Amino acid sequence: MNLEEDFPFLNRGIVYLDNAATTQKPNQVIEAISNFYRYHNANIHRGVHTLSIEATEMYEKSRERVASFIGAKSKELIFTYGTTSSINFLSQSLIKSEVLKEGSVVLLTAVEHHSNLLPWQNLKRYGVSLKFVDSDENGVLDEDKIINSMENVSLISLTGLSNVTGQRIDLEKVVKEAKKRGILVHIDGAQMVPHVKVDVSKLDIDFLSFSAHKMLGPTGIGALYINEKYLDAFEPFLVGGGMIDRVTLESSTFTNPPEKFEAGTPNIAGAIGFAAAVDYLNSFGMENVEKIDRELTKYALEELKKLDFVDIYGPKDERQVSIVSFNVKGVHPHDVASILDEEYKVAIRTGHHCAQPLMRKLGVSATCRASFYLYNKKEDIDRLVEGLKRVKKWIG
Amino acid sequence: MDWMKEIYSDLVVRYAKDPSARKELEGAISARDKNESCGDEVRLFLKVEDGIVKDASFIGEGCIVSMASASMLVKLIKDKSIEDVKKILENVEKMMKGEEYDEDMLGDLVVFSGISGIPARSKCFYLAWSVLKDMLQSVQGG
Repeated sequence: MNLEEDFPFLNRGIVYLDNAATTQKPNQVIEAISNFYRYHNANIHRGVHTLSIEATEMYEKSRERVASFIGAKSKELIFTYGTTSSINFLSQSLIKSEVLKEGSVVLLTAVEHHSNLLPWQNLKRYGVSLKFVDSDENGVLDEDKIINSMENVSLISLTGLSNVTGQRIDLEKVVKEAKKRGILVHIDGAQMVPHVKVDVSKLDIDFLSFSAHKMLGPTGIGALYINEKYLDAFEPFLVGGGMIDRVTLESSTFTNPPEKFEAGTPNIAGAIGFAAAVDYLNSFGMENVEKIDRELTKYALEELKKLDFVDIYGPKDERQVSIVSFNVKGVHPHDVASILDEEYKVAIRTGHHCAQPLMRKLGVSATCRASFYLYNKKEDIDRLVEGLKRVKKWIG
Repeated sequence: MDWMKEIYSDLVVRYAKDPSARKELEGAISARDKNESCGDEVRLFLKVEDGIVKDASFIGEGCIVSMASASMLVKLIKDKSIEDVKKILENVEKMMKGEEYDEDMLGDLVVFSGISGIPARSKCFYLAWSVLKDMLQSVQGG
């Protein structure tokens, strides 16, 4: 594997540290998508012609590969448009299927991304109530606090890795306690699945959401893992074409999962690109991805801690993976990002990172966030640090 | 991108960091606005007597662009008649849209003449001016 060859953007001299927003795509993913459109394009299912049969096979093979990447069975892997749609679909299905109903309590934390908050707020109209586990003033979650809040809870929906602080939650510990109490567990894996090996068959969670574009794949496609024991009982989120068994003017019956959950023509090329991304990560080795991300995070924390004009948020230890949020004292994050971009070609993200409640907890309106992936190097962090010193000198 | 050099020029940074315009004004009318996406916030204070802005100030938090723009606003509108302030505002809006405007009316604010080409930052630039616009309407209405 040659990163410079696989990721042509690296030759532009841009230091890309915005991987938590979206990652770059290797040639292998881009080729898989364009190859499908060039030579195999057709709609899937029920087609009897060659192209349609090929497209269907490519789509279903993609499902198999993405499912196996997280240790799931094919039928447990439903393609969605991304993590946000996965969580919306799941929350609505839980209501329609009466798994959650009036009086049910959903446990969340104060650090969740808006996409793991608003879909649950939406259920309040059905009499579902929300309960929150608070973080400390650095945005750090304490697993014991989560466990101590489990009383009367029907479902826990929790990030596996915070998109602001980078904190990797000890899911084994939390899930074990939840299962003892018969609580359903959904994990927002948008940041976790790209960076650490996840095996749902061992982790024993019920639902997992994640997006392709944060793990080298295309935008507009993601996945929702639903443990097979719920597949038959769960109501589809969307209804229409491609998911039916028999339709009359007055009523319909549905086909089997996972198709039952994928009404309409899906993002076929996206699924193929998603699978190509997963193949890339498999050949690179997820253990190597995690190793690189951890090393870079450790190095970034060490270097940023040396700057007395920088405030860092989050655990600031080995619990932190791939993401570092910080502020330059007295300088607005937008100004930091503008100068880093213009003068140092360093791309970072600034803002509330779709986590306004957490921003309020940290006592800031916005932060700077640097996030890493397998193609980043220690020199990238050196450039970031150099840039921050310049920012401080210029307008600090 | 030359605008970067202008936006972060010494002049702009000096205005953004200048404490003299940053205070609450007792007995003044005030209003605020916030840019939710980045958290920038400006509260503007105006003392208007006999159709003249006798005093003005602001408090707020935000990026260099939003703070310098607010600071320049305060300097520009002090001791001006409401009619003149309206004209200044009109020219600010023209500059922001990339239309022709009267440079003489805008003083140091012309350092932001390139703002029309930077949509990402024009919201920051306009924050204090949008507060002023609302306040002018209420001044007029009252």
